[in-house]
Amino acid sequence: MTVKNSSVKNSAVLFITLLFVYVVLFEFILPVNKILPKPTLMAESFFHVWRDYNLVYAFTISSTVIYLMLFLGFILVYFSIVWIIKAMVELKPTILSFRLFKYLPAFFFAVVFNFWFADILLGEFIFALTLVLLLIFKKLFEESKNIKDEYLVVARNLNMPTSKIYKNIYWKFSLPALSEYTKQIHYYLWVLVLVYEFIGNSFGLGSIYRQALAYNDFTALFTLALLIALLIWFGNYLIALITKNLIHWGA
Amino acid sequence: MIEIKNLSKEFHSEIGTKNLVLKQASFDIKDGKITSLIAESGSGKSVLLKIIAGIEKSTSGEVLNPSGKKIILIPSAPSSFPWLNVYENVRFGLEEFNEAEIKKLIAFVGLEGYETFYPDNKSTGFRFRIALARSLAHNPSAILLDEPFNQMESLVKNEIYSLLRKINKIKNTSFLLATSNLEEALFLSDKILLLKKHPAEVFAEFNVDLPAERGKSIYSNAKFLSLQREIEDTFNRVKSQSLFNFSI
Repeated sequence: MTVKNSSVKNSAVLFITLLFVYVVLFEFILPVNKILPKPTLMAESFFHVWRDYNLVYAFTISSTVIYLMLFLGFILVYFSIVWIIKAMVELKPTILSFRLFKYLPAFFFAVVFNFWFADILLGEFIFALTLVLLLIFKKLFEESKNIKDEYLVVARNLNMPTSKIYKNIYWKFSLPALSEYTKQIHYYLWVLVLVYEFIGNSFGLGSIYRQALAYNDFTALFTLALLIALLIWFGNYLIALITKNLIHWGA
Repeated sequence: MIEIKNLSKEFHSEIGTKNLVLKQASFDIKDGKITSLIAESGSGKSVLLKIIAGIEKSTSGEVLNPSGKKIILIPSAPSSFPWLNVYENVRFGLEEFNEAEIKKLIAFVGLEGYETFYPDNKSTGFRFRIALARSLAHNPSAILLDEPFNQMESLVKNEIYSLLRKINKIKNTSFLLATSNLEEALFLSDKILLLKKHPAEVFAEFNVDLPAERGKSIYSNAKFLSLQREIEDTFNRVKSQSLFNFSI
């Protein structure tokens, strides 16, 4: 049995065990508590959340922002890869000085964007795109430092123009690591877009979270968390499926 | 013939100190011959090869390549690109190419039938064959090999030795092999150059006057053994002398 199969099996066993403990404990032993909602209430809550909080509309906004901007981010990077890598290679010390900003919490940017674009949906799109681009640049920069010298030796020896070296060597070399990192970008994007919406309290699943918190709707909070977890899992599965078909080589 | 004349290379550190890594290297790579450059690891062989291949600039000296054809360097680590298949790897860097010619070269290095295979997860020998075919596709004036056999298993090494001699004989390709292994240099070469380190400097040259057809029996050939001893003695003598050389 491969390590991956074994890990999937272990996760399934753990999930079933936890589900069993949860059902027994909170359905029968502690039906009224302030820790976790009763399982039957959770099941019913799926329909309530759907109806009472206009979940379809909120879900459409959040997922459109996330997936459209993720796609657009990669398209923009693809078409400007030569300039991006040129800047990364030639302006390395300047870029390194930007490390200073890594200590600023991402939460801060969500607040600032909300301040700039209060109640404007476009602001959420710009926020998500900025995030995607920054994360892609970060990964590309890391990979540009790791590039294997022998690839550059061969390309330079064959008099390949620098722009082609950036596009055909640096970009291709970075793709396996970048595709792996896309799952992380996807996760960060979900978290920060939810934070953005939570702060703005205007659009998306984050604003539903805020409303549920305001109404003290304990069950809705857990139901939403479960729904979002499922969406992230499905998104990661799709990303893995796409990148596996597009990128067959290792770093 | 490629002439290397008085090549020197000096690196400058950020704090302003100078480090002379290559000093007045002069020798030639004769057409259709295999020349070996023997030196210890870290002696500056790779820098010298990069300068000859035009990848790095020398501080002084020159490389005369009257044919005007490319001098191709195969780096020490296998240099085939994992995102390109064997065929695409071989035609890499060519503006114009003939598909049949490329396939012929692939077959010539022993990779017929593997044109659509990707080199990822393939052996070092497999990837070295790709690099050889790619180099030949550019019809070079010489191929420079930077310690190519370090990561190869002994059986694969012997196959590659034979392949190099075959290429040299049939295509009349000149090679410059940088290695720290005297036996493989003697087996493959027509001429051996010794390089000492700190800074790298060519200090001796030996003609390898052994039969053109070389099999495993060459290792017990009297001429082979006496030449091996002679080179080892020369190398050790210079090495022990350099231990007493202090510079202020």
